[in-house]
Amino acid sequence: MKKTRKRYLRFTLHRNGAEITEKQFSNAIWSSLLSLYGEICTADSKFYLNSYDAKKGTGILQCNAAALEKVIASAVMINSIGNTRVSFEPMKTSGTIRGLS
Amino acid sequence: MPIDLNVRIPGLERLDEFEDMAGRLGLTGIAPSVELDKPVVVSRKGLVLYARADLKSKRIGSLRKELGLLRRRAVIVAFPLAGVETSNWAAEDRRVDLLTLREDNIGSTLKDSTAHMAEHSGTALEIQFAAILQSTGLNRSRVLKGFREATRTALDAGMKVVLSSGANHPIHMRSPMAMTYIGFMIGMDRVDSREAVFNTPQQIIERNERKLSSEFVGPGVEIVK
Repeated sequence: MKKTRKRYLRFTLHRNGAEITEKQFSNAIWSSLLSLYGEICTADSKFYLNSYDAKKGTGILQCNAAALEKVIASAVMINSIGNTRVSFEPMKTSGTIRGLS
Repeated sequence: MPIDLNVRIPGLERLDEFEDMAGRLGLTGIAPSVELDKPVVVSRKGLVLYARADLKSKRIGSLRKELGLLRRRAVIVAFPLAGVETSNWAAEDRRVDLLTLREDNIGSTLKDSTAHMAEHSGTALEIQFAAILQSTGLNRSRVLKGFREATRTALDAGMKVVLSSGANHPIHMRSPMAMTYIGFMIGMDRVDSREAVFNTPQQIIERNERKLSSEFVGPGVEIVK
C-alpha cells in the first residue's frame, strides 16, 4: 500500500465560554468535515488531533496532505461547540511536527 | 495588511470587544457599521477603524442622493446586490466600492454584464461569510451555491473579490489565514483567496483615503505642493 504524506497544523481555538475538551473538539471537526465534504473525504482525511491544551486552546492536528485544505476549512466553519462559541485560527502548517516550532 | 471591511457592531459600547478580538486575530483594521466621528479613526489599542456606509435606498434617484451625502463621510461605500437596474447603476458608479452579497440577499445573482461594468469602474464583489457560519445543512448548501456562482462570475469578468466577516459578535470574526480557507471553499484558488483577504481591501482603502484627502481634485488630478 502506498504511504500517504502527512501534514501537521498548529492552531489556536478562540472561545467565548466554557473550556472545550479534546473529545468535543475532535468530534466537532469530524462532524463539520462530514457535513461539508462527505463520507469518502472524511475517511480519506486521516484526521487526528495530536495535542490540545484545553485551557489555552492551542494544539496540533495531523491529516493527509491532500485533505489539509478541507480539514482546515471544516474547522474554520465551526461556529460553536456545545454552548461555547468558537473561532478556529490556523497558525502554521508543516510536513513534520518539528517544523511547526 | 488584513482588514475586515464589514463588522456589524450592535452599538458603540461593544466596540472594545470587537477591537480586542481583531487584535488577537491579527487584523490591522476593521470597518464597523457604527457611525464614527471621522472617516478614519485609530483606536487606543492601535486598531484602525474605517467608516463604512451601506446604501439602503431602493430607487436610482434616491440612491444617487444618498450616495452624494455619504461619500465624503465614509471610506467604504457598499451596495447590497439587488435588482438588475440598481445593481448595474452601483456597478457603474465609481463612488461605490463594494457590491455586497450577504444572508438577506443571497437569492440575488451577479450578472456577467454587471460584473464587467464593475470591473471597469473598480467596484469589488464583497462576500460576507457570516451567512455560511450561521447556517447548516441544506440552507448552508444554498448559501454556498449563491456565493460560489457570484464569485465565479466576478473572477471570470476580472472583477475583484473581497472577503469580509459581517460578524455581529466578536467570536464570529475569523483570522486572515482562516478567511483564505473560506475563500477556497467558495471556489477561489490560493492566489485569488489571498488577494481577497490581504490585498484588495487595502487597495480600496488606500484609493479612498487619497480621494478623501484635501489635495485630491479629481481622478488623476491632485494638488502638488
